[in-house]
Amino acid sequence: MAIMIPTLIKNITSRPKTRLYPAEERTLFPGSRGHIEFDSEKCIFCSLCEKRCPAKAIVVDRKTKTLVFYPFRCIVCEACTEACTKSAITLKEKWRSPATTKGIEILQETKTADGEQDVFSYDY
Amino acid sequence: MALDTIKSSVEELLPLITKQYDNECRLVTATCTDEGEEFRIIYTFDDSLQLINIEITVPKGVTVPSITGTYLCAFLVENEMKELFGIPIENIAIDLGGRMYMTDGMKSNPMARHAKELMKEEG
Amino acid sequence: MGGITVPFGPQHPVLPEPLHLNITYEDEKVVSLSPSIGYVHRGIEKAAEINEYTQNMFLVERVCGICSFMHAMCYCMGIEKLMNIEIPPRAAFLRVFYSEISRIHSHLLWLGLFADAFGFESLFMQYWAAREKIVDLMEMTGGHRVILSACAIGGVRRDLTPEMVKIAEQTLWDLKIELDRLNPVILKDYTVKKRTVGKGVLPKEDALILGAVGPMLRASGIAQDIRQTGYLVYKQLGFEPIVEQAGDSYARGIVRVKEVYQSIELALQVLADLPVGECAVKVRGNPNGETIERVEQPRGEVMYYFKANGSKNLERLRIRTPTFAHVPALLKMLPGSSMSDVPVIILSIDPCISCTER
Repeated sequence: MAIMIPTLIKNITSRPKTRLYPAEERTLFPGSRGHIEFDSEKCIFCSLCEKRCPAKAIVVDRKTKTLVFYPFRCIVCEACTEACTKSAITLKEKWRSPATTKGIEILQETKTADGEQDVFSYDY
Repeated sequence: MALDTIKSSVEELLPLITKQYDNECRLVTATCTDEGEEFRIIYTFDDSLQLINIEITVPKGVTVPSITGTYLCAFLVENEMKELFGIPIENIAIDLGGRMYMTDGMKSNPMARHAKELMKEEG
Repeated sequence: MGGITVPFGPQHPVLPEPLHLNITYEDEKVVSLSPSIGYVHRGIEKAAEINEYTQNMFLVERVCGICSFMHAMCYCMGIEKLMNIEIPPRAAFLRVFYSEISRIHSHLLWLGLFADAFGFESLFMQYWAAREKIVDLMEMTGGHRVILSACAIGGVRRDLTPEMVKIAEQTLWDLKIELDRLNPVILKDYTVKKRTVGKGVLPKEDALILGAVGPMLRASGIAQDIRQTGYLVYKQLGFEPIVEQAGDSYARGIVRVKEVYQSIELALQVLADLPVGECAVKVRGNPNGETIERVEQPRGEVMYYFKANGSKNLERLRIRTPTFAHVPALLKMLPGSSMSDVPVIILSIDPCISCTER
């Protein structure tokens, strides 16, 4: 009994080791791998990222200037971020939230009457 | 760069293995590669942190004796070679009958080069 | 008369991954057993022939969750040997740092599961709370919590800033103080000793011939550790393996507890001696030839065999993981023990079945 008293006092007076989620969220470290985002202005559709991706999550069509990205196949390995020469792919720290269907993201370059225009659309 | 191996044949395999057992070497594993017309099996041993490789070349269809008589721990790797490559190995101490990795209904040997023809036969 | 056969089935509360053993009992003592694996076979060796050699690194990392950095490191070391690439000294020190952190993580996870196997849930939770410190350190330095993705062909992908080095040193000191409070429970408790001393003995003569590696071999009295060959910077750091003589489950527990302290010291030494310089070199060309590479993982010795022919795809990749060598050793350890000791003995080999059946 006497051996237990210091442990008892320590357990009553110390802070809990758990966190009241979702009221209190975890602070993420800078550089932790959450998800990647594409910038439609800078992409030149060279398809270098498609060659490096180990999970086949990027499909590029150079003739129609379309890039299709499957975010639910992506393993966030950053191979595409290191391969892109125009810095069009950036890494963000927040993790993706769960979803009920596996959506896709499409980047497309279309020519309108007054010059080129880049369109980014997603479908979740 | 090539590996330095001791080249041997199917007939002389078992006496060489017994020699390694007498020297108190530990069996690391057995590796199999498919060279088209024949299989090449490399047995790797470790003798106080030095590697010893014994290599045999086996034409397709020839039976290979099992080394589980001396090294019982080889039964898992020989079952795997028999199932994935299709090498006929006889007298394995615990033979799981080709159903270790693949379920009923799958007949082809996935790792061998002739897998594509076998898969076309199955449909 | 023949006994009854009870399956230690694929699903069991003690096992983290599915393994099937058909155990025959007579009067509640084990007579014989027959193992069978194949529940999580993913065909990684075949997939490695289809991918290019640069994409294989991400495939090979995911063979196992806990020893994932060492798989990537062994792959990169083999490809660098085939292509004659020399990595910078700072990269070698950082690879040793990440390896020792992975080893601490794996042993703390095993200690928690070991306590859970005989029902001591509060100790399980305390060990995993200590493990959280290491996992946060891995996220700060490498990027992910469990699958680090920090190794690359030619070096490491991320560098440590001086603030990160200070935080890492402070974390390791705090971990040491926390473990000094927790370890006496495993080492000196009367109930723990009753359940582990003298159970599942692997004698010294059988250990080498049955192919045991890593802590199982060192707990049976044979001092063999691949880090003694001096790859990366282990020769410079000076390293002696930890050996116990008894060969039972208790000795395996003691070896792993002492290895955690040794890894903390090695990691602190590496952080103090980090040289200045770049952390990766550029890679051009394709690998050619064949070679064998071995690395000491937390569970034992892993062996990789490469065969390349000058094109972008490898011709053959063979992986032999440590638990693949331990499953046959169960054939000698289990007969003679009683039915209630079987789960603790099977957990004391540290089974990682997804490594076994890549």
